Amino acid sequence: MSTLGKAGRRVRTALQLLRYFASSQRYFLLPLVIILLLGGLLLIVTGGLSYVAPFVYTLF
Amino acid sequence: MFQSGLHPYLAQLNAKWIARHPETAARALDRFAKAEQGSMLTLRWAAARVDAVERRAIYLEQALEEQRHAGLFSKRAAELRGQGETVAPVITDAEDLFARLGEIRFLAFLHRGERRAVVEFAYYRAAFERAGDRATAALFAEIVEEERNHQDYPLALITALSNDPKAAARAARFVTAWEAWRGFRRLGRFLAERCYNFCMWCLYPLLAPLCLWVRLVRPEPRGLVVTTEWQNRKSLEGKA
Amino acid sequence: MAAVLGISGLYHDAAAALVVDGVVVAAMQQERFSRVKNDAALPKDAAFACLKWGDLRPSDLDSVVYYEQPFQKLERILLSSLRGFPRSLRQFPRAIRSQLADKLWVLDSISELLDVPRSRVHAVGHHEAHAASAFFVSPYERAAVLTLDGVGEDITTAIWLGNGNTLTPVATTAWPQSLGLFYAAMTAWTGFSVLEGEYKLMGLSAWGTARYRERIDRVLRLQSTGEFELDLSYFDQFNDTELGFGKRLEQLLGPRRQPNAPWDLRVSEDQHYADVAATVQQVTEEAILGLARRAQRETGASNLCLAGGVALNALANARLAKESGFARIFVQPAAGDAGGALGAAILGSIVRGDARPEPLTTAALGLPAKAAEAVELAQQLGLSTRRLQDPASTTASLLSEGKVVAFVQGRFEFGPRALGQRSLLARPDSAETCTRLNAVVKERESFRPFAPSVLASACGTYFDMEPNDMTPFMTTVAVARNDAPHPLGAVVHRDGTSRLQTVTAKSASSLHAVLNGRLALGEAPVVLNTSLNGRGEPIVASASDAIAFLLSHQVDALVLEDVLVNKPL
Repeated sequence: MSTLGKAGRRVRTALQLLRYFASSQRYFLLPLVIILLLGGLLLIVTGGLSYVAPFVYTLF
Repeated sequence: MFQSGLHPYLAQLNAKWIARHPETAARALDRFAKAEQGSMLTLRWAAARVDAVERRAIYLEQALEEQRHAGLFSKRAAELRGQGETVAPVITDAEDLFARLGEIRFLAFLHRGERRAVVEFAYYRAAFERAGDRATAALFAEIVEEERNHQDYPLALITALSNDPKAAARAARFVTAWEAWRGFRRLGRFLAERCYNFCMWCLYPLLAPLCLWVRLVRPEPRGLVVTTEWQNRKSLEGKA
Repeated sequence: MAAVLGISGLYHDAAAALVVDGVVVAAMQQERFSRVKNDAALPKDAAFACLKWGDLRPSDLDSVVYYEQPFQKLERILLSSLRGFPRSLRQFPRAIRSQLADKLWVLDSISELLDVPRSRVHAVGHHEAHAASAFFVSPYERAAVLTLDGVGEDITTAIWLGNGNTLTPVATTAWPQSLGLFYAAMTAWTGFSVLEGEYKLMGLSAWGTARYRERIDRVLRLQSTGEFELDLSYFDQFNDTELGFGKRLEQLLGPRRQPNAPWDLRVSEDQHYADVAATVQQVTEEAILGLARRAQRETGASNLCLAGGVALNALANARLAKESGFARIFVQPAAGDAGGALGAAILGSIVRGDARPEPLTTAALGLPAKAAEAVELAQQLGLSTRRLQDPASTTASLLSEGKVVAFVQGRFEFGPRALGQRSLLARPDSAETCTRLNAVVKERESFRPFAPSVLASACGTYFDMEPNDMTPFMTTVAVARNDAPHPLGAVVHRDGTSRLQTVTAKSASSLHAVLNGRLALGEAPVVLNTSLNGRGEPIVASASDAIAFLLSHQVDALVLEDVLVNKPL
């Protein structure tokens, strides 16, 4: 699975998420969701969401 | 985390520091327990994947020894904290390095890790000896002996599996670079997390007006709420 | 005619389940493969193992169904954090990062993991998955269904009406009003680890008396309508995976107990914890009873199914059987989140026009252990092996000699109970074996009881009831009879009850043969049956796991299919 494909799928999901929150009951949460998604993007770019097991043979 | 040249010096410094107080020593031993338990998992996964029964047996035996080490570290940490004999099961995570690296590089990784453990645990043993903690020093001594057995066989296995005398050196170089890259990513992740937390904590107070709005338009639902579907059904049945 | 794979994961107890043409082909928990207890990571190994067993490739799947709706979950987390302002500050960054990291993208991750088109990956409601996992494999055409857990997307408690192949939601309770939260917080206060220590709290309750009712009533109030209300000021820092208590609870009940401190119930401090446990258990039972009665009033059904983590409370289930007014009750063995995978798969299958599955008669839905693999590995490790003509009678003989036998037969179980596929067996009467098992093999607290497996036909001889729909799966308890022909000291808890398994040839054929073997030796057709695993690790699955267990624990023998493995003398 290419990184581009992966990114594309997630962008599509993010748009579905925004559409979900654009409904009458939840619209007021939409700005917050957008901010959090941007925060998430920042985390991905800086590697903050990358998983590297902390305890594999690191002794301190 | 860093190049192997730096590791022993850092280990020496760390050893002096943690051997001073029972609490810091206990915390360090808990970390070592997690590292050993993580090794156990990695080796169990390797044993499950490998086809040859001889190597499956070797990985499994080493996994059980690592598990035993994890238990010993954990138990000693509890003793240092004054909690007596009771020990929590060691919970950790690990990565499927066998699947990720392939068997040859996995063996090189194992060799490096065990060799580092042998060198560094010797420093810890000495530091605890100097600090007067004989029991913890003896624990390190016991574990060092077993790790010494673990460090040698991987290189021999690489040569046997690849039929290439240079394979071991090549794999070791790859693993060194790979570990350095992963150390860099761990550092990056650590910094990014701190940065993210800071941003969240700045954002949070700004949400105060939204909080008031939420309490107004979406208050917490209470009790057992009958669904609309069921209500409609009941009223239809009532009419019928 | 559809092939549907159900997936649970990312929170706790990841699992995969495969339903093909309305038949439950396989169901397995990821922890059995990864050897990490309650592993929550997406169940890659379990999913591929299910497919391999069903002789399918991922491309053959018509649908993959995840057991929770990710967007609804995020909505609740945001609303909860905002309502909890400013106290929710500490957990806000963590909760959001957890969602952003993987939980929001779970359907994409599943699509990539299995290499299945994203259009074939769907999600269902969490409690709906729980309800489906119980009702659609129950023997009932029509039943009330009660689902109780910590929290799904937003719902913590739900009543359903199951009829044929439909499930209709009747009533729900939303977060944070949650029985699961209550029980988990009390579990944490008693020093056990949350989300896996709840059954320890249940076991401890038999050692105490419910003397703190007035205090616990302040925390959890019950009403005659079946509703309950938690006073949330006693709880703190609670979210989906950390269910904690606050300072106010410690002011009410005393300080929390140190985790992992040794237990001595002769000491008044520990007796205090046991008394609180007894009170908590009593209140929980009454809460569940109230909900069940409400379910009956609403639906008029004569049968009840239960699911969700709280449904694993076997003591409560026994009380339901006696007092709720339902004629029959069913609780499937994987009532927790792992069962959500099964429920999701069944829902996906029904939506595609398949009939609901046949009633569940066995929990053996995993992979078999290969005898050849065991022999090969054992010989490599210097263990002695011997092929057995009659594994059942050899096991029965070993048991009557007082030996502890690791028993590995057939496909491993789905759910937290060992039901004769991956069990540690021992005589049911020896207190000394009991102590040895607790202290040395399983390294558990001394107050923890062991459970019996009994021949279904002999159940009424040793316990005060006949087999029912729950007993094949160890999801209820029975009172042991005083006038039984043989003593059962090791498997009867302090309050005189046992969390029993009734065994038929259909539910666990190998164990059935062992019990008949015991009968042939003139002994009780009852065995002590505890799960085959060491402390803090998941139940053994493969032959290699079984050999590893034998090497690292002091049991007397391993009987794996028709092979006897011993440690060298």
